[in-house]
Amino acid sequence: MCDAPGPAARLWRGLGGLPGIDLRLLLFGAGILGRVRRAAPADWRLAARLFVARRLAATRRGLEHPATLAWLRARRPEIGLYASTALCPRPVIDGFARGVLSLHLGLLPEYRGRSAMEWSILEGRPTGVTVFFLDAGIDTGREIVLRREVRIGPGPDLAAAVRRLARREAEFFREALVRLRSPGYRPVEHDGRGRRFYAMSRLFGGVVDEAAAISRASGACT
Amino acid sequence: MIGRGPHRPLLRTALERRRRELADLLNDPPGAASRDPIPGGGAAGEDAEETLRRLMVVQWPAVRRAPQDGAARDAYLALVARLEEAARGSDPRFLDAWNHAYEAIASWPAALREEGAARRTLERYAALLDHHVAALAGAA
Repeated sequence: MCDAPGPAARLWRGLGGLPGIDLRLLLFGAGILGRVRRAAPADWRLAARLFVARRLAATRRGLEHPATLAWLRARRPEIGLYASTALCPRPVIDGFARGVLSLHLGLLPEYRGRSAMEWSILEGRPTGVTVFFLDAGIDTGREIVLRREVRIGPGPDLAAAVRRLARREAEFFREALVRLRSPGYRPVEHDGRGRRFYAMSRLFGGVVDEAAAISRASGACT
Repeated sequence: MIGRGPHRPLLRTALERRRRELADLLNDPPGAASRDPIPGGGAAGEDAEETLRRLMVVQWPAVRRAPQDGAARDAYLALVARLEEAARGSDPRFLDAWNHAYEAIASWPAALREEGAARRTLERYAALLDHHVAALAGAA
């Protein structure tokens, strides 16, 4: 489930060939057709090809619209992959037998909420990503499938580096799906530790930018 | 104390810079702010976590959307004041609520900045900055 064609194309390219996965894509949201038209040509062409092959559906309605929910439930999906910054409505989560996985740019359970990467840097803690099953709360889903420390890479600024990390969602979802299906799979339980974070002020944002730049210059980040 | 290890000097420098900006706005030299808490601020038994959530999820977006709305400003600044005690502690989220408040107030027209609640918020913020700068300096 994606609200932009870019993530959908990346998910298809990253997960389409995963054995045993019958991947279907759903593009949703009021502006979705405009976003498809403005997408990179390669993504636009891929979306068109997948649409014709009935691997991709698109709706201008929200996910919680009854028609969208009915469409989802008719397919009896096992696991959802959610690639949007908007909250995933509870009825959508309930429509999947196993649940809906989401990528969080931060390490759970410690860093919930907004700007988790930036807050981790400010507090001098490791940065990373988490793939977990959503619940109705803000990054509170009990089952954490993948928790991986990732250092922020080189780049012109921290925001660009975080955006690059976000664009690796297919890689992290793939790793999570492989892990889920492995015989020895043991989830990391979200034990309620950690704090919820909010948008960072310009003051602390500046400190984080400086700290990240120093880390990159010193080679502490790869 | 907020900040860990290598970032403390950066934090201290940033807070000192912010304190000088604030001094210009208040015409009040760094270190001179009153250390007395705001009456009613950070009342005992108050759930600071829930106050922070309401502040950042409800009131801060509201006051950013409509700074001319006096009721929204009053509600926002009242919640900020309730986080004064928490903002003196080691969890940087609470000081950051005050950072946001300064950044919001500094963007308001002078007439709104000079209103009592806004002015008191800036004065209390100055005291918070002095507190953290002193703590960071002591740890250096």
